Amino acid sequence: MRKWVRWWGIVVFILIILLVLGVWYLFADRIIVNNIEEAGEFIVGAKVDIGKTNLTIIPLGITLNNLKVADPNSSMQNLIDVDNISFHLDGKYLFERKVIIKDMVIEGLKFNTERQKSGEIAGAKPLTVNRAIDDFILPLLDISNLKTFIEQEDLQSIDGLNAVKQDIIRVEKEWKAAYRLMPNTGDMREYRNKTNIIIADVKENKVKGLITNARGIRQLKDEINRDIDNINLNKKAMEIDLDSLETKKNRVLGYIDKDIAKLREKYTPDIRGFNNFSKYIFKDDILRQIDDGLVWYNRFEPLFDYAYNKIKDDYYGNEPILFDGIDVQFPEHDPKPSFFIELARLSFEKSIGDLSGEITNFTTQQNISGLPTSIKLDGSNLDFAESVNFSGLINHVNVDDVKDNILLAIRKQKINNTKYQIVENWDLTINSGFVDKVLNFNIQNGIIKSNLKLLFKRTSIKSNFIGQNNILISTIDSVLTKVSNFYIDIDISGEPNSYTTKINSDLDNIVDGAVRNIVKSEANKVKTIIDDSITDKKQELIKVIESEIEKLALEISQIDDILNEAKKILKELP
Amino acid sequence: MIRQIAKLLRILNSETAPINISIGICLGMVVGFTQMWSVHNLIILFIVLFFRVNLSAFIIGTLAFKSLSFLFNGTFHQIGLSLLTADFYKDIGTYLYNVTFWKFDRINNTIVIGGIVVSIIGFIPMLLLLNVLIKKYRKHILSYVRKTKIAKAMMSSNFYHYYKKVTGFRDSL
Repeated sequence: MRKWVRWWGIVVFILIILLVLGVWYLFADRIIVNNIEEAGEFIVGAKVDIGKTNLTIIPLGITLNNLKVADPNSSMQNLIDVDNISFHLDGKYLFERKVIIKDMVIEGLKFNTERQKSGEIAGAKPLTVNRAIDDFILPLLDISNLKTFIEQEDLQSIDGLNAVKQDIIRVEKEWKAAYRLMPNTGDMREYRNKTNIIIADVKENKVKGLITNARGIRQLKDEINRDIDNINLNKKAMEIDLDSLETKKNRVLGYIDKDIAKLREKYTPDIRGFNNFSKYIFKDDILRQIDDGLVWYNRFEPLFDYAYNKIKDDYYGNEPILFDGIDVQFPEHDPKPSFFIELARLSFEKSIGDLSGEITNFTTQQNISGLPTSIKLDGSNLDFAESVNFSGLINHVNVDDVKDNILLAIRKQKINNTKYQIVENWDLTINSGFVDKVLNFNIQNGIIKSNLKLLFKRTSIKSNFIGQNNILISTIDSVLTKVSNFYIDIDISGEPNSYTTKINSDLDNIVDGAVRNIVKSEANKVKTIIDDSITDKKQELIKVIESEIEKLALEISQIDDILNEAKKILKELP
Repeated sequence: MIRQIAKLLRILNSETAPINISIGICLGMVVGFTQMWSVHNLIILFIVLFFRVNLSAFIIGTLAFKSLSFLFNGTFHQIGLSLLTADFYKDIGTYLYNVTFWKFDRINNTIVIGGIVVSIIGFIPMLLLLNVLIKKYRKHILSYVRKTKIAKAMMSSNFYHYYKKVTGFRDSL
């Protein structure tokens, strides 16, 4: 026996175990902090910092101080800033590598606090979401620059006429080259002289003269016949060129009506554009709020599907955040998720007001817990509103029937100089007042069916337009600045990473009523400007084109004269 | 590390039974191929310390196979995945998953089980191979080196005798 064993090995083994446990206990705080920071950064995509941790063995619990989660879209801001998080762990599940927390206390919760150091993680992508909005093209409100806009437009008719002009230049060059090889009036004069000499000689010497000039007559006739063929060939090509230019010109003129229609559609203020004017005012603000929410939904939603990665047939598993490989799940006698918080009590920083709540049954493996996660927050006498009630239910218990719901009601949220940009040089500011917000946000199996209602009360609206004032803008300004109570109703639909919104408000009727007649009159003005601009441009170009075509036609008639002279000489020759 | 290699060379060159060295390296392979801080590795550590397994061989084996394991993680994952999702393993996997010891050992992780399977399957062939290699080394290479003039000169020097005395004294302790 002694040959095979070394008894002192047991002592060394115990010492090693004690050493490992001792070292672990010494560095446990740092190990826990590192693991939480690493997992948090993986989930959020930005820095997660923890100030201090305290580990207690009996009872087994952890306290985290100053937890700061950076905003991935704004690196110098914290998304969440928590003073204190403390919780107790169920020790028996730790041996099964499961973190089961019965009761967690989260104190001093704050949002959007400043950071000293950037919270950016190298390589992390900013969070974005795709959105679509129905016909968000604001009609032209200021027609003073319309002529300039028309100048900058690509118009098929004007471009076509310019192309015809270029074609004429090309044809002129080609014809000039052809003239150099064609018989001209000089050649005809020469033929005439030669003919006259032959005719005079034949008259004088009769048959003898005819015999003497027979060879010369045949040569001259051959030359003239060759020239006639040459002229005919070139003339035919020139006539084709001329026909082609005419056809092109006429075809391009047909585009003018289409261009006018296009410009009218683009620039004529349409009363339909003012039927839903509220969306022009509030789109940026509302879409930003929806984007902010959906970006985080898209970030966290996959985590709730953590237990649902199908590996093969009936096998499910997940990729552990802090470990390689895949943890395959098998049926358990006492099923418990890997991470579960039965109850987390939340309390916000006192300066916000009396705001607190709780999260129950939090886990990313709801198929194992069998319980949906619920979030509830209630507050009153807050620094930004009279009251807030929030309730959320994240139900991923059944992978085939995922239902997420948020109900948020904010009463009397204060408005303080909130700016809404309509276009680049025109914005509205709500200086004071309140807004009641009710959000009913539902996502069922990846389909959004949600509504947000905003009820503005006792508002004071101010308009700021930079530029030359016009009747349309001043009319809209005058009606909007008189409004103090109004609502906005937003329907959100589509999918979480690609959604659409419809915005309606009673402001729509107010604006529509005020501008209806002005829009009609402005529309007529725009029509006249467009018609005049296009007609002027067209006439200017047509004048040039037609005069050039006329010149070319004249050139053909001159060629005809040469041709007739050649034929005449041919006839006169004996 | 250099000290451990030197120790291993000394053991290779000594009269230590080849099986002791081979077992040390093979147990090091199990530890190296699986996650370091796991319960089964604690058991292996106990075996290594309690039974007369060569410690230097075990340490060298652990370090060498741990270095290699990073290259084989993908293979371990594939092997582990095939095993964990095999029909025949369903009942065994369910049983093991419900035993705290195995759950704590992360037996349901593809890389962990892949590493364990590879080291278990490779244990006996590796043991036999190493045994043969050590014997061949001692028979051919070591005897050849000992016959060289340099080795003979070194072995006849006072320094070598002094070294043998000291190491022999230390080994007897």
